[in-house]
Formats: sequence, structure tokens, C-alpha cells
Amino acid sequence: MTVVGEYPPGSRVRVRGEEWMVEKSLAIPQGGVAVHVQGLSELVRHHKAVFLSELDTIDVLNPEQTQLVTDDSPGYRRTRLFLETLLRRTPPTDARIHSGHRGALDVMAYQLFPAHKALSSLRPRLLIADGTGLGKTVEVGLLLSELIKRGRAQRILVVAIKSMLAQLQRELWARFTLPLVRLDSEGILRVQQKIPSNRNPFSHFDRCILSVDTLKNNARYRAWLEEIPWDVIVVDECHNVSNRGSQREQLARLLAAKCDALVLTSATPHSGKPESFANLMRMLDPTAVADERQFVEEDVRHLYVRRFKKDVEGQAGNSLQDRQVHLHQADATPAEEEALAALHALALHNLGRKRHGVDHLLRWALVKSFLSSPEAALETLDKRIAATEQALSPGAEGPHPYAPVLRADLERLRAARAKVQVAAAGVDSAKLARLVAELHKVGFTGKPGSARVVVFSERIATLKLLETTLPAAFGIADPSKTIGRYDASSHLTETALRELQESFGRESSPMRLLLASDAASEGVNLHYHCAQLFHFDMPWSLIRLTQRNGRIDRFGQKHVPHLHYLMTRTRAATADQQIMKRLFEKEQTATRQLGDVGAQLGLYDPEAEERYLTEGVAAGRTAEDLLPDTPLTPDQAERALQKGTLADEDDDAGEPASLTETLTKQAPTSPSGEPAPDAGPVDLVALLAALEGGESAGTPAGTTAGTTPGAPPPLPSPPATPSLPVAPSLPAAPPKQPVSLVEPEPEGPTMDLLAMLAAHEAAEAKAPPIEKLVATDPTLFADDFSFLVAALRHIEKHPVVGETPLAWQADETHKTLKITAPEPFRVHKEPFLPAEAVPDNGTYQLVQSREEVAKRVRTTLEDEGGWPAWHLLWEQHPLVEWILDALAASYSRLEAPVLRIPSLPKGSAFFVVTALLYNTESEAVYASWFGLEARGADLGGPPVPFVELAARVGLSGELVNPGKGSTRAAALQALVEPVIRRAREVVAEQRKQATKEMLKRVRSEERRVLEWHARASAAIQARRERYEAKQGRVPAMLEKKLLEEQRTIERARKNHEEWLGSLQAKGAPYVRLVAVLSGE
Amino acid sequence: MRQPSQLENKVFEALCGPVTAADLAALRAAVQRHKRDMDQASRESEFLATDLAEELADKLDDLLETLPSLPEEVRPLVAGAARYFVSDDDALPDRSGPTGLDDDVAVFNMVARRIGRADLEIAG
Repeated sequence: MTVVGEYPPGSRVRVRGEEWMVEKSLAIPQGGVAVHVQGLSELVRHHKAVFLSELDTIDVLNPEQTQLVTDDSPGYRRTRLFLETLLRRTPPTDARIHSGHRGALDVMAYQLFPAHKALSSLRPRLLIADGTGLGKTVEVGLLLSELIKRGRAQRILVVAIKSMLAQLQRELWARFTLPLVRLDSEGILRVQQKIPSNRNPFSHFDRCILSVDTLKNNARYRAWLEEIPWDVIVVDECHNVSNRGSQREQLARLLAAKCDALVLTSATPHSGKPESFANLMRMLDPTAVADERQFVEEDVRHLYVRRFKKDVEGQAGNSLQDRQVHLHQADATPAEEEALAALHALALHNLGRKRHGVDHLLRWALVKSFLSSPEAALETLDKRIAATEQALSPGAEGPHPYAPVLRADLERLRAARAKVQVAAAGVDSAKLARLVAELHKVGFTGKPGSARVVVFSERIATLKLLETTLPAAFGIADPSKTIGRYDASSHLTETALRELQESFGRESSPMRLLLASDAASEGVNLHYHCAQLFHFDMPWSLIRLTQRNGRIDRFGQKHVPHLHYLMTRTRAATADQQIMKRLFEKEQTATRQLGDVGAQLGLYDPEAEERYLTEGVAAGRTAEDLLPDTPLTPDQAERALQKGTLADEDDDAGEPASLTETLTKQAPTSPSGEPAPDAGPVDLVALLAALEGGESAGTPAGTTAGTTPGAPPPLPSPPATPSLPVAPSLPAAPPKQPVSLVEPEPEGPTMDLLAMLAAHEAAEAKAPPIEKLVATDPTLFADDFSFLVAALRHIEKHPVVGETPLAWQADETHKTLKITAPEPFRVHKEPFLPAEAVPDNGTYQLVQSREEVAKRVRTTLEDEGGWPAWHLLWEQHPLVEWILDALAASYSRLEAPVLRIPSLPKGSAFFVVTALLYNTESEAVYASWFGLEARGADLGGPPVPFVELAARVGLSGELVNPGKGSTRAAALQALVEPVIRRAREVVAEQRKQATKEMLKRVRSEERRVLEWHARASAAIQARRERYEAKQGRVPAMLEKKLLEEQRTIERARKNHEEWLGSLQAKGAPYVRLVAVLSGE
Repeated sequence: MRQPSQLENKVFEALCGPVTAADLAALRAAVQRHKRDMDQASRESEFLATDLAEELADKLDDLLETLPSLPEEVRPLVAGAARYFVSDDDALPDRSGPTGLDDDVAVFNMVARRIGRADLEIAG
């Protein structure tokens, strides 16, 4: 039977009278093999085809028939180029980094590690969960480059969120010349014009990048996607797809099953719950986690890396700068004090018709908005006034039952508004004045060349205020060019936002000041020419604060980043000032020492953090209590903040909408059964204590349960808070049905996810040093530049038949090349490059020095519209690949040049042989280069590794070609057959060793899966038994669900088994005689 | 390496028993044959546990060779381990893949420990 191994990638075959190079061959279910080939002989050059072994005669060209030929090129250039190309095309079979580190980047061991780790696995599937600002895109690019080098990334799909598409595509091109075609709405339109409408665009484009929402919303695209397998799929910011049951998640699952290699990235890979993390792990490897509530580090250690800034300090060198933090406090003006006092005193009632307790959260929302700016407070007040008026207007339901209370509220609101208005009208707003002063200090003038600054605020009203006042303060004539406002309000389209961001990062742009809302706090790079960041107000969330700072305090920042915090010092609002100060302190310690900021409060979500703090402050808890030195455990956090308690002041639904309302609802009605009249402020301290401890529900008002270790002693509660009895567990559970279909919760504690993550972090704290991670491949040329120049000179003399010669120019001093792309390249390759990467004039500019590229990439990224005009000169550049293709074909499969080497003894010759072995997945499992020495006709000696041989005869230096053929041509030719025989023996021996190694890895993998299978099945059985114990019997529906889960497990095991089997190499290794070195 | 499962133990126990001199020669030959068969089979399917087969066969042969000099009570155990190895469809078929000999190794290790030869245990 025909097996895949008969047509290894790179081998040459003759089919239908033409010569082809095999790209890959895949077994087909109907029997036989589908051989994917690229044309080599003139008629079919640049054409791809697929031949079926059952239908066509596919002749593999046998090495025994190799004809020895003479190389008459000066210095044996042709042979050296040919060998160099084959060397570079030899797929590595180890886990070291062979090419990625030569991309345009400063090599740091920690960035090499993820690729190394992925390649160490039998299947490269990895979550890269490094903290913000460590360069995850670089890490992805490194891994992709390595997979390409191994021939395992023919088809790449990168999925990202919309706002990140352009940035990712550009960075992967600029650093690694990785061509991804962008299929956003624009790209899709272009594609549809280009290809027949019934053609699957994903089979048309081998490497593309697209947004998860494009996929999600386009049913047709989804269907296309389902038809097609990928070699590699990258899902960027994968936390966006980990919500179980969501459409995005289903899509991600589908993709995960459609690829060999899978790379996920996220700085926030879990919600604090083991299940969320388990979900990602299962996408990578369905056989990793047996029980999503109970798994150990060992189960998932092969699937992810997670490091933080503190872990990699010392490795990152100049690419991670030490930050400088500044706290600027400004005393409130009298008008501001007065306005704040008024807001503080404001006890407003809920607008609901059924409930109308005092809404304390609203009070704090108002105070917070004022601390952003009086303008923001006005906005919030106006909204509330409008809502109150609306509630009072008699509708279908008749007049509001608490109309008098609300009318009083309305009066108070208007009075407070008047005071805020006074503060807003004051020209000398304390914080604004301070901002102006500090901007002067850091050298901001608004003029070209002056310092570039980003100012963050939570409120759009505040940003608008700054937008109108700052130009006057600095005498800026044309603010529209100098100042940009980046927020999610509708004034800018997505493209305009991207342009704004890019303009801010461009040195030549006049843009000096970016006023940013928190829409810009995630994923946006602002650090190119900006090292000054101001927090005009403080988000009440550590995560958000860290995200904001990460915009300029990140990998690649060349200057010391300055982080400025502005705070209004007031007499009226001390609690919130404490929170702000505490946040300010915590953010620093958390970034420095603890790594994962999300773990501090155990909430993993900025909004949840904000809610937690607002409600905590409203309940009178102190900043130290709310933000303790030691992180809260997820359980503590969960208890402190029950989900679904979001304060929504206008919510009139039946469910409790805030803690306050929860309590009002829970509070007993008056004995008469009438709704209790205004219950007055409730004891939120007791409530929170109840939520935290349960048992302390009955503690008298005035104390708080100190359940947090190291928390300060109990504090007095706010005055005048008559205590209400509180139900011990809140919110109330829904009434139980007689036979519940809801599974009973398993007993025993859930695993400690954070402890598991910490154990992993400790285990991988020390990445191996660069020397261990990077492999140095043999080469016959000094560098890429001299290789390319030699290649271009050669091609000039020996143009590939039928093609126009390449036009090119080399600059020896700067090691740069300008190459005009030949017609076939334009026609056949350029459509598959990002449009922005194709030079307008058809001339590609390549530069060798990584530092130079990094520099030019930087400047061009910033100065020339975003895409670098200079590309990295290395073998992964599409044009260089094209040239290498031509060189690889410079000797036919059945030709080998003979070189006369004076340094070799007379009568001796070395036959240089390469051997390659691929498994069923077309992945190289064994590759070897060696020389066999023939002394006369004796071939008994041991094989000599190629590197040794090349050094011995000086293949990498200047060789002298006497221009005459070998004097022993006939004798050497007669040796070809025995040499190939001997080579096959050597290869068989080497292969045995390789197989042994592989067998060990495969066996331990299979044992792991067997163990997983047993545990996963036991977990299902345990659930069944738990249910029986509680309910007596397992209802049919649940049994069905359990059976389905069991089937999923069986399926995963079977798939895994099949995949393991496919790692076997079948057929004979591919042996090729590539050159003969003859002592004459 | 893991302990034998209940099923493996049961199969093993059924195979333990006295060994005559003629039995012994046949058993030793069968052990060698089984090793060769595994090696042969690996040409079709390269991920068979041929390395473990080799190690098991060598160690079993050493034990069988010295069997007559071993205490009476341990001889049936050694024979049981050898018979377990040569039987192709024991608890886990030997040719089922890279872990096909894991049960054979588990049984052998258990016997090695029981007869005071923990030094022979196979790490796998």
C-alpha cells in the first residue's frame, strides 16, 4: 500500500512527465495518499497541484541514479549556494530556537521560552499568559517562525479582537516578515472581488488574520471555516472567548479542534475560578483536566507559561524601564469644598414604585464623579434629575406612590446642582490648575518637539473639559492637531481611533496630548514617543489602574516612564481619598512584587472591583480593610461581592439591584404587612459582615467582622444607623423544586486555583539561559547578506530559464539590498502579502542588521504611516524564500556536483548525504547531514557529521575552482550506488535511536492520558453517586447529560490515540546525495 | 511504574504454578520468541514497547536460568511473571501501543520485590 512516508516533503517526484517538489502528503480515507506538490520543471513552475497515488503514477526519483556533475562556477559558488539552501531548509527536530531569535528584536531568554516550551511538547499547543507589557506578540512571532522553519506552519490563522488586528498584523510583519492577510470588512470585500464567489476564501489564503466578531457574525464565513484545517491557529487575548456557552467560545472551540498547533494569549487567563482556567486548558488539550473543579499543576503544566515583570527583571535589560511615580495633591477651593459637602449630605431615595429606600451608592457615585471634575458631577446630577422627573410624571400606572419623597429629593438635587455649578464655573479648579503646572514641569508646551503626554480620565465630560480648557492655558493655536481625545463615545469611528493612536506614536506628528478614557487602557500602545502619563482621576479598580499604566510602562519603552496621580485634597470626602491613596500604593506594590494584579482582590474584573470598593466605602469600611496587604482569597472576594448586586439606580425590575436594595427587600415589613416606611439608612457594615462571615450576622451594629488576616481592628460604623436584623445568607436562594434538575454541588472545597498558578510560577521561575535555548545552525556563509549577494550574482549569470533577470543593488557598507520583484513573484506571491508590505515601486528594501531593522522598524512604524519601508533581510522574507526556491532547484534531484578539494588526501573522497524522515503528519522526526568517506572503494569508515567535514575542508571559506572536472569522475560515479547503500545503513541505525527517544515520549504521553481517562470517568461516576445519595435516583435528563459527558471523554481519548499513532514515521527515510568532495 | 491492577493480579495468579525442567526450557524459549515477535511487529507499527520487551526478556531469562537454585516458594511467581509476559492478550494486549507492556512490567516488578530482588525493578 502507498504510505505517506514514500513522498516526504522536499523530495522530488516525476508525475505526468514533469518534475515536482513535494510540499506535503496526506493519507486519504479512501486509500492511498494525496501528494501536494509544487512545480519545478519549466512548464509547471509556480503551479501547485495535488496528485492522488491511486490515480497517477508518482515516481520518486531514486538516489542510486544520481549523476555526478561538474561545477564550473568561481569558487564553487553554485555548490555552496545549493548546499546552503538545503541546510537552511533542513527542518530542526529539537525544541531549540533555530530562526525566530534572528527576527528584529532584542533577544531575551524569557521571550524565547514559550516557543521552546511549545516545541518540547509532542504537539505545540500553549497558552501564553504573561503579564501586561512583556511582549506576548514577540513571543507568538518567535513560535510561528520556528514552526515555519519546521514546515509546520503552512497555514496560519490569527484571530484577534477588532481593535488589535492592524497592530498585530503589522508587528508580526515588521519583526518576523510574517505575511498575514487581513480579512476585516475591508479585506473581505477585496477577497470577494478577487475570487469566485463559491470559492472558500480560507483555502485561497494560507495565512490570514481576522477578527473573532467577523467570524461570529458571518455565518457563511463560519461555514467556510469549518471545512478547512489549519496548521496553526493563534487566538489573541483569548479571555474574550472563554465565557462558556458564548458564541465566541463556541467558535474558539471549533477552531481549537481544527488545528495542529494552537497558541492562546492573555494577560488575564482566568476569572479567579478554576472552571474558567480549565476551559482554556481543555481547548488546548481535551485530555488535560479530569475534573474542572479539582486539578493540579501537573495536569496543566505542559500547557501554559505565565510570568510577570518581576520574574523577568534582569533579563529584559533596557527594554523594561524602572518607573517613576508622582503623587500630586491639590487643595480643594472653597467652592469645591462646599459642593462636595452638599453631595455628601445628599440622601436620595430609590425611584422604584415598590421600593424607595435611601440609595447610598448613588451618593458615592456623585462624590466620585465630582472628584473627576465638577462637569462630570453636573452630568450625573442632570441625569438623575431627569430620571426623577420622569418617575414623577404620571404614566399609565398613575401617580408615583412616593411622590412627596421624590419631590423633596428633586429639590435637594437642584440645590446641590447649584453648588456644583458654582464650583464648575470657578476658573481656579484646584486639580486642573495643578495639572497645568505639572504639564509645564514635564516640558509640555503643545509645540512640536515638546514632551508628549497622555491624560486618563474615567469621565468623558472631564475629558471634554480638558479639551476645551487646556488649549487656552497653553496658548495652543490649533488644538485639533495637537490634542486628541480617545474615548468610546461616538465622536470617532474605529478607523479614526486607530489613526489617532498611530498619530500619537509617530515622532513627526504634531499630536502632543492624548486625552484618553479607559477605552484606551487596554491593548493600545502609547509608549513609542511618550513617557508621561497623568491620572486626572482615579478608577476604583487596581486592574484598570495597572492597565492604564501599562500603556507607557511596558516592554519596549526606551525612557523612564513617569506616572502622575492627581488628587484633590478635601475636608469633606476623606474616605474616598483614603481609597485613592491606598489604590495608588497597592498598584505599585502589586506590580513590583506580586505579579498578577487581578489576584489582589480576587475579582479579576475592573467593574467588579469598582463595585466592591464603592459598596465597601458606602458601608463605611476603611481603605486598609477593603484593600488589605495580603490578597483576598477568591472565596472572601466572592462573599464580599455577590454577583448581580450591581448598583443600577434606575432599575425598576423586581430583582434587587444593589446591596442597599437587597437589604431593603430582605428587611421585614412592618407588623401591619404594609411596606415599611423609609427604613432610614441601613447597617451596611453588619450586612457586609454577614456576607463575609455568615456567623457574625448577629453582631451588634458598630463592629465589623475582621475575617481578613492582618486586617485592622474593628471600626466604628457611621453614626446614626439603626441596625436591622439581617438574614444570614444573602441574596436569598431561589425556592427549591421538589426534584431538582440542578446538580447538587460536589462536597469538599474547590481547588485553590491561585495556589496552583503560584506553584507553576515557582516551577518556571528560572527560564533556561539563552545558550541553552538557541541553536546555531551550520552555514557556509558569513551572514545572510553575503549569502544573498552571492545568490543574486549567481542568478544574474544563470537566470532561471524563462524569467526576467532580477534587478538588484547592494550596499556593502550598510549591508542593505534593494531588489526589484520579478514578474512571477508579483503575480503569484504578492497577492498573499499584506497590502501595506508591498512596496509601491516594486522594489523591496532589505536590511540585515537586527538593530538597524529594529531602529528602522521603530522610526518607520512611527514616521511613515505605520508600515516599515525596510524589511528584515533573512530567509523568512517572502522574496528571499522565492530566491531560495530558485537555488534549491539549481541542481536537479538526481545530480550532485563534484568539488576538487586539495586538502583531502589523494584517492580519498567524501560523499555528502542528507537524510530526512517524516511522520504521517508531515512533521520531520529525524534529519541528518553526514559525509561518508571512500578510501579507494572502501566505505567502511564511520559517518562524519557535516559540520565537522565542512570545517575540515573549508567549505565556508574561499575555495579555488580550477575549472576542470574531476580526474576520477568515472571511479566516483561507480561508488554512488554502494555509497547510497551504506548511507541507508547509517540512517537506519540513526533512526533507531531517534525512534527510541520518540517512543519514550509517546509512552509517557499515553500513560498520562490513560490516567486522565480513569480520573475523568471516576469524576462522572462520583457525580452520579452524589446525586443518588441526595435525591434517591438520577433523573433521566441528568443521566443523559452524564452519558454525553462520558461520550465526550471517550471521544477525546480516541482522538488522542489516533493522533499519537499519526506521529509514527512510516516508510524509508529520504536519502539524498548532495555533493562529492574529492581529493585528486 | 504503577502497581498491577486487580484484573492483572488475577490473570497473573492464574499463571503462577510449578515448573518442570521441560517447562523451564520451553518457557525460556517462549520468552525469547516473544521478544523477537514484538520486534518484528514494530516494523509495521513503530510505537510498540520493544525497549521494554527487550529489558523484560533479558531479566526474565536471567531469573529463569537460575530458577532451580531459587527457594521453592518463589519459583511459581517467577514462572507466573514469565508466562504473563509471553501471553499476548493478558490484561492489556502487548501490541496495543507504547504502553502495551505496562501491565507486564507492573507484574514483573511486583514479583521482583516479592522475591527480594527489588534491584531488578524496571523503571519504564
